[in-house]
Amino acid sequence: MGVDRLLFGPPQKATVSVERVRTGQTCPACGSSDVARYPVANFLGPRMVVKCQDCFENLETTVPTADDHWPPWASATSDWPASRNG
Amino acid sequence: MTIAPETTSSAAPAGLYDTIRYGLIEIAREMNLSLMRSAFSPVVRDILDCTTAVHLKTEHGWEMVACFEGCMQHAFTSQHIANFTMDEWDLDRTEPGDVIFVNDPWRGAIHQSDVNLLRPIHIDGEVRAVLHSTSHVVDLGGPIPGGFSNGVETAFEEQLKFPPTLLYADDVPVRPAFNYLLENTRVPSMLLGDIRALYGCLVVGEGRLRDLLARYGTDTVFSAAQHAIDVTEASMRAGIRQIPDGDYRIEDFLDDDGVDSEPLPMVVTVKVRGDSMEIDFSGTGRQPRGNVGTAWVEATRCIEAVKMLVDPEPPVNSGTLRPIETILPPGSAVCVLPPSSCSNHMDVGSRSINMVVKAISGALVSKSIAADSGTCATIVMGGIDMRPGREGNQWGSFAGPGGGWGGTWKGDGLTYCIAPIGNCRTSVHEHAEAESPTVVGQMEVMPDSAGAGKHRGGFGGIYTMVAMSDTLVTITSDRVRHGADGVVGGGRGMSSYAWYIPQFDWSKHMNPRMLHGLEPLYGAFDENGVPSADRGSVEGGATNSTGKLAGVVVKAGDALRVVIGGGGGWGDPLERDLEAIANDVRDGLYSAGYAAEAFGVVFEDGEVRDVESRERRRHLAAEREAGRWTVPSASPTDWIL
Ligand SMILES: [Zn+2]
Repeated sequence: MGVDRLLFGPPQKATVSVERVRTGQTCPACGSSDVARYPVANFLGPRMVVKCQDCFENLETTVPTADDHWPPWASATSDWPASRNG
Repeated sequence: MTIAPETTSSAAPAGLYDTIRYGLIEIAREMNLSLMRSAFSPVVRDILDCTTAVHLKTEHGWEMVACFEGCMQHAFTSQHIANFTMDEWDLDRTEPGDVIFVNDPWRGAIHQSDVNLLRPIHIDGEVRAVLHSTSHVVDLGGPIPGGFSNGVETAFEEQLKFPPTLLYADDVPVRPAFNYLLENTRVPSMLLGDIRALYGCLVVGEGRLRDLLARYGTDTVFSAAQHAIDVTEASMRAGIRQIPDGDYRIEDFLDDDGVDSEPLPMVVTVKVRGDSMEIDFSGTGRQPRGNVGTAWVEATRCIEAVKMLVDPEPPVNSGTLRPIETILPPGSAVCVLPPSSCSNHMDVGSRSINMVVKAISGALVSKSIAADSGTCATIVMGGIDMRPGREGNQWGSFAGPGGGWGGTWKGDGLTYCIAPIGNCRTSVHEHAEAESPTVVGQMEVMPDSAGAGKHRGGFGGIYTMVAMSDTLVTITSDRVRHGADGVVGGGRGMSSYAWYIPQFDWSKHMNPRMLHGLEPLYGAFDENGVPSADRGSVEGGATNSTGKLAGVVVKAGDALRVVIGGGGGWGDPLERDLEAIANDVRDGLYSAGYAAEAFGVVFEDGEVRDVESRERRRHLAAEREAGRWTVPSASPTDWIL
């Protein structure tokens, strides 16, 4: 992972929002075509979800990959082998 | 086709499962009592800003199955702290008796001052449980003592930050970790006492957990834990189902961030679909330059509001969190990016909970609740004791004066109560006065501070600290520009204030309306120097335009007075029961002057005049109809300048 996700500049826009990216899928529960993928915090921590926006049917929950940048920060050493001291 | 009989595990008696469920809570309770009794600092011992929790490894991940909180927010934040740490730590290298220390806000900690100790527990050779203890510590280094580094912009200027760090190996203290902690704090003796207490309670917890496992069997305990989480989830979902489906958006703002003077916008949209919920902070202002943002805690802390409203009874565990997903925009005030400062988490936290309460109570229409004081107005004090016999002692102390909660559809708001972010107490005055060179001059209800309404808000409070030695003070306050909003016609609560009182005189300075000779530190004042959020502004009338101060020096013999505002009112104050107002006036809570201005009640010789009051109420209602009268914000009408 390296040290590239330790420090960040301040955001430029005055307010910040999370984008819900439409996936083009159809909700298996209610038939809605408004299905989107986006980052959330669920009961365990940061996750990516694919959910129907009309009924919140959950189509998929995954642990974020590096490309998801969620959360944006990351330990520099997470893929290093651990010593006895951590 | 044959139908298989139910297995014994799914048919296990509910009574046994409940016994084990409460057995697990009992472990957390005993850990908490041990922590509270053995800690050194008043933050743990008196204020109870400390919590203990039991997490078990389930098919999902690390799930909190039981906790016992001194401070409610920890019950909601413990689960993510455990998951961040256990995901990162290499459990294959973990030995029995290891304890991990972490206080990183980007790994789920509330802020650096809230330290966390985690003890992985090996069961049958595998780490299957983790015990967690947490508390605020009085000082953990950095340029500003006490943990609320108001006015700074980066985490580098705040308290020491520890990623997961081995603190005990095989139950032996890791000396470099301890040296680093103890050589970078202003109060090493207090910190050592607290860290040992946080560790000791984990050892107590492990003993009790092993007793429970031995008594009922590991499989049964894990099944019962799963059951406890599942039934809690079901109860929470049933509560959420009472809220009509919809998107409920609330906007509010913090006064400022302690560095820039602009208000910080906050937006929350609560989305309900059946028995699931999302709490989306999209639209919230970008991370502030000052330290009022939070890094991660709003991910779970704001769920306190949902819990309080829809399912208040069952003890909190992982099941409380399962039905809800939160959306934190990266780089916003609720998800600041490193190295942003984020030590004053309390104003964003209090406000987030307040906004979720408002959103849900709005959705439930019949159950609306006005805003609360929206801040805890935490006061951190410290310095070097110069009292005879104690010269040179480094000391640190906290005070948490209560504010007012909003009026509700059911009745008046709670008076002098900490914001619902937590349920901590304040310091025990006798302890504070013995251990610190301070005298608590006042800790009492602020008159005329409750927002007017058919059901009025709760009254806010006054805290006056008289310094016996020079004292360095940090204050974190908000709602200085305006008091808490009312709902359905109710008025705003009083806004927040602080004054510096030179040469405190007990015979003349105990009247909170007496401002002669006092130096305003912050607050909204009109052009004549009269406190008024309705007619005034936070610029010009006081030394500071923000309620977030650090480095205030109160000289020996001088005093500091902090007033935390009241809750907003619910409903039309012109409809409030006359006898209820008469009682409030008799109790010294409202003055006859404010009762006349806001409630239209006329007093003569201390008694309500019915006919005149009805006439005045008709007149005010007509004036309101014509756009010439609005319910005035709560505030005394008889200040002495
Ligand atoms: Zn659907």
